Amino acid sequence: MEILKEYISNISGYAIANFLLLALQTSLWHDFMGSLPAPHFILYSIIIFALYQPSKLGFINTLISAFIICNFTIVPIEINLIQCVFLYILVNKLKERIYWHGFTYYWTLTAISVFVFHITYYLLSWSLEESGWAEIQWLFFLGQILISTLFAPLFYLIYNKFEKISFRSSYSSLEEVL
Amino acid sequence: MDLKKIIIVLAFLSLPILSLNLQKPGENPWILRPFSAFGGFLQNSYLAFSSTIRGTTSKYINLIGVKNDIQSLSEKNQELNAKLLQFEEILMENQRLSQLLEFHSKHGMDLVPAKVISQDLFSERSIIRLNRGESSGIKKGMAVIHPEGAVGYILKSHDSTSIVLLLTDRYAVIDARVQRSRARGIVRGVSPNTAELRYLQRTDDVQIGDLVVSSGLDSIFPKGFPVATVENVTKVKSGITQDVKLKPVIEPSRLEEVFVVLNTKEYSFEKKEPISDEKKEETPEKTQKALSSKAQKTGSDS
Repeated sequence: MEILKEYISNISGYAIANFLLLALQTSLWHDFMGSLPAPHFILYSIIIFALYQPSKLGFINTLISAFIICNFTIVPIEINLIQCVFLYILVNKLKERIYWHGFTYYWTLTAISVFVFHITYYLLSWSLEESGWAEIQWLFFLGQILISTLFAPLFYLIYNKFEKISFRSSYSSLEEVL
Repeated sequence: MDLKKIIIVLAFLSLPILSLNLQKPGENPWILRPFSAFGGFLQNSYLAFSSTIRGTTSKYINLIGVKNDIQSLSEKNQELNAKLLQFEEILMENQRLSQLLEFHSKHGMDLVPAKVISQDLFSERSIIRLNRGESSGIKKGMAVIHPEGAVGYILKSHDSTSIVLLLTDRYAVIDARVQRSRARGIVRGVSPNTAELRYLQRTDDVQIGDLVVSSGLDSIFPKGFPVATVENVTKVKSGITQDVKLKPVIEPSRLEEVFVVLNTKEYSFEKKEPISDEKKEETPEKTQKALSSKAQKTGSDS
């Protein structure tokens, strides 16, 4: 029962955080920063789900994140779902092959994830959408990778803290889980 | 002898006393002059020293005051700067809104003003969200314009918000004409800052810098409304069409306020005059009503 409560609090916590962050990314960021690319806030949590959460919970959180994305974009839901799940699986598999402790790993994965997220979007858009290939905006693309990587340490600290708080009884530390 | 000496000594000693007595009242005795000069010198020195000390102290005391003054002045300055920025922002907003108001009152179309509240999460998609929706009469397919040019059209409408497909989106298409030569084609979005004019015939006259306006045939946009300018024209060797690259008149990322066209009332920007009231009344609905009533009448007659 305790575990269930923790799971629910974890899921709802990430859902609320993602809702707030995506609203910020689509409106407030453009108001203050103009045409400067916004960091891909949703990726920070998906990487956490893939790296540090039990697989079932991580997968549920990833699916919920994909549904949250749908509220802030016109991109079809199937593309969002495939993108998020693909990223989740990729990070999970990558962790099994290569892993080192510390936030630099998370940092590196953030940069890779932004790149992968964009590339999968272009491929999916080309194969699934009627209007075909989306034109790649290289400058924006590189800018977003840089800015997302820049914000990664902050989110690593926040989400780590949140993981520890939400799994008070069952979750001893991230290192032990790994 | 001894007495003599004593007398001489006394006489010498009495001289100053005598000379003192011989002085006129108010004059400084000569014997005291060096002392008084020295005293004066000392007093002057003390005064100079004291005034220096006082000056330095007052400078420091003043400095504290000046420091406080500077602090309060800089605070005031910051406050005034903030107010100035606020006023500038209000002034700019005022200019924008008066431009919109002028546009609204000048033309006979049914327009709903709306504010841009957000952009799409994916930068590849040219989508914006407005703060007005179905509750303001906004429906799917309605045109979204700015006094300077066409913006896009409503893709989805919710209760209090609506989603706009900008003309630069790769799914957006607008029926348009080249204003100068009247060549007709379809404007299609390519990337967030570019569009293209498709289905133009190879023989159609298009030049760089030409203004492309809405044709009005789609009954969404008013006729002759600016859409984009021609940026590049390429004629491929084989083929019956030509590639025409366009630069939208409006830069979507800078949009803050727009108009949703509820009804164009067949307004044409080319004539610069609204259609007559008689014609306005002849809306399709009225015509249809008239036709149906006529049909009922003929049915009852027969």
